[in-house]
Amino acid sequence: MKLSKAYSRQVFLNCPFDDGYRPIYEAIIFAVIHCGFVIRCAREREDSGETRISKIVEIIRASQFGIHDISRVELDDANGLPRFNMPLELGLFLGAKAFSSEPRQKARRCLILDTEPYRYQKFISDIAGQDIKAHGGVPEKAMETTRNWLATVSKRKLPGPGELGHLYAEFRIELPDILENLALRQDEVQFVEYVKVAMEWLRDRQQNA
Amino acid sequence: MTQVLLYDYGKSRVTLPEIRAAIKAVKSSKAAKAGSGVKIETKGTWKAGADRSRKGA
Repeated sequence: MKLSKAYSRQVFLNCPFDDGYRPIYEAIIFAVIHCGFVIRCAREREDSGETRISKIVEIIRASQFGIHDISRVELDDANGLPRFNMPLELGLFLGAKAFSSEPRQKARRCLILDTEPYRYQKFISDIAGQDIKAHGGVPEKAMETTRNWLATVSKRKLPGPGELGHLYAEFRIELPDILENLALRQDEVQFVEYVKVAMEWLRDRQQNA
Repeated sequence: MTQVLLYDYGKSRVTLPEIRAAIKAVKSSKAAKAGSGVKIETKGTWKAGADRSRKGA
């Protein structure tokens, strides 16, 4: 079965969007772009005429790969309740693979991330047997795990983890000045803005390598 | 390096030409300082492992 290039290059990112998670979220995005894939996320467009769930379904349908971080299990400080969006979207992704009759949907692959190894068994034990990795809350670990997983599931030759780490460190040093030139504050940069900056920075780096 | 794939995410507060100009300005400033022997100072002090994700961090 030959999959379309667009489908086999799209990676759906399902993760928390709070400030505490931002370092990991930004590292994963950089790794996906650097490895030659397109990152897709519910935050990529704000259209009040579209329900959030229909947007997520459309993105999942278009993406062969999915990265799901289920580490945010703490209760919300404001209301004392947990967030269920990440497990819900993981369920949608797994359901698309299980129930669809389309061959390309059966070719889906997902990476499930948590902070600690085996912790998921205490709160979502039904996913035992899936590929679940721990990032320990460390962005470089999440980035390397993402890169290694993409290399395995896509069967493509990807840049090594050393090159990825080196480039990301360089990008992080230049990012504050780039954002200042754009009159953007680092803590308020939106998903699309960050992706575009990372994409263009990597393209510039390639052209001048 | 792997070819970066382009994808149209639609409109954002900043345009691609603006982003390209902002990156070019940072690179030019860095190159000019490196050429003149001036110590390069950036606002970034990012170190590998410095950021750890945790709720409320």
